[in-house]
Amino acid sequence: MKNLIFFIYKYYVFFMFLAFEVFALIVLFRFNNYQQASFLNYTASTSSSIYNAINSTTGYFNLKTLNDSLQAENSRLRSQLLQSYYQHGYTTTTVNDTQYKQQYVYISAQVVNNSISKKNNFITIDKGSLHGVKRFDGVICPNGVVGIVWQVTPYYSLIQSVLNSKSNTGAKIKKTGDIGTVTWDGSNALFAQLSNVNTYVPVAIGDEVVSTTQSASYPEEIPIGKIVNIDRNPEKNAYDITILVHTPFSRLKNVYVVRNLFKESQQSAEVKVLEEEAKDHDN
Amino acid sequence: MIIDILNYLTRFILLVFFQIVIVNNIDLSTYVNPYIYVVFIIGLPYNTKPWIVLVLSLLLGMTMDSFSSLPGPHIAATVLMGYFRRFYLIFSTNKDDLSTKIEPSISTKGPIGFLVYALIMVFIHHFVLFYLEAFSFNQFFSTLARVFFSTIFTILLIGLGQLLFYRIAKKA
Repeated sequence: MKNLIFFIYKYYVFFMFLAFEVFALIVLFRFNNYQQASFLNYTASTSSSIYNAINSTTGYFNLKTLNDSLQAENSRLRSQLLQSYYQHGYTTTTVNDTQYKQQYVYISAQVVNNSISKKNNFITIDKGSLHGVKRFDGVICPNGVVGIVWQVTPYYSLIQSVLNSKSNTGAKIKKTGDIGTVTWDGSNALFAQLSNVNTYVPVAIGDEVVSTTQSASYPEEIPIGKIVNIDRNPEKNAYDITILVHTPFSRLKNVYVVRNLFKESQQSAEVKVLEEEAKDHDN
Repeated sequence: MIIDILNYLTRFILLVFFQIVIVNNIDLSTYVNPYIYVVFIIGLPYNTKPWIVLVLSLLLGMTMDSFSSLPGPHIAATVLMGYFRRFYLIFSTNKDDLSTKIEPSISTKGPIGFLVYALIMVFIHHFVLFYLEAFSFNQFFSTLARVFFSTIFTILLIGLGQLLFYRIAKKA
């Protein structure tokens, strides 16, 4: 026993080093398994308030571009208003109150912390569960798709950016309507990859890629990017497509969280179909 | 003694602030993520007790981790670097200097000596950090490229800082 204590005393620096490293690895593995579950809870209150303070000063630098993009969005939305349409003919339609039911609710939020240069990028925004944000809600900005809500705390949410090697965004080619998956290979923040597009689909450079409702997180036809390069993947009988993303991730400021009010019913319907298929398969 | 503590505390806070506010926002490329804050551990005096270096590494790593979305990598990388610092310094410095309050810098170690020392320290740190952050050996070589380019940029920043403060110290 005496020898043991002497041994530990003699090499105490080494044991301290060992203890610290084990601590770091335990923390790393634990939170990696829980997908950063509760880590944000510990640090959000302090680090986010510091980030808030920084942002309140640096926020002035790009006000002009922000205003421009918001104005462009406003003009686009204005052109979709009922008043902007000219009415043809004399047929009148009665608008039934129950004909329209709100499907999407938008919660505006500000980016608190953002990174684009890591392999797995996350974005922190200043709205949380108290404002109605839920996990897996979509997040968009005036220019296009941003990501999916990954963790929610009362006042802040962590968003898995499209620029995350683990992100999979359901997408389609606007012109043809063919679906594919947008992923990111982690090399350049300006370009993402569109995969799983079959080779019989007539794609062309310059085609727009937009979101679909198949993932239930985004509304239909939110812009994602523009095709800039097409390669044929002979093994998978599919194209490897590179797209130029529309969202300016490096200067992201104003975003909207999209709450799909029908998401649960869409997903439960899809689960039922899957279950029935499984049953048929058994018989 | 108290002046020393205040001096290093200020340096700690300034470096963390500089890292978060300015360096983290240099989005040159996904392959370039310099981490200049390690210069705090690199520049500690020769006679700092090894356990103090380790504790400071732990604190520095924890501070940096609390500003990222995934905890752990900064702690592991900084502590490992702090542990290896002693061995390299024993190997590369003469015994009389080791027991003094002199800080390793361009003026005390010479440009080449300091560069090699900083390069080894920063490489250990970045190597551990980037592989733990990626958390997989998929894309092994792209992570390795990240380590190399980021190390070069960190060394560049450290060198610039040394030149800047070395000249100021000479004038005063």
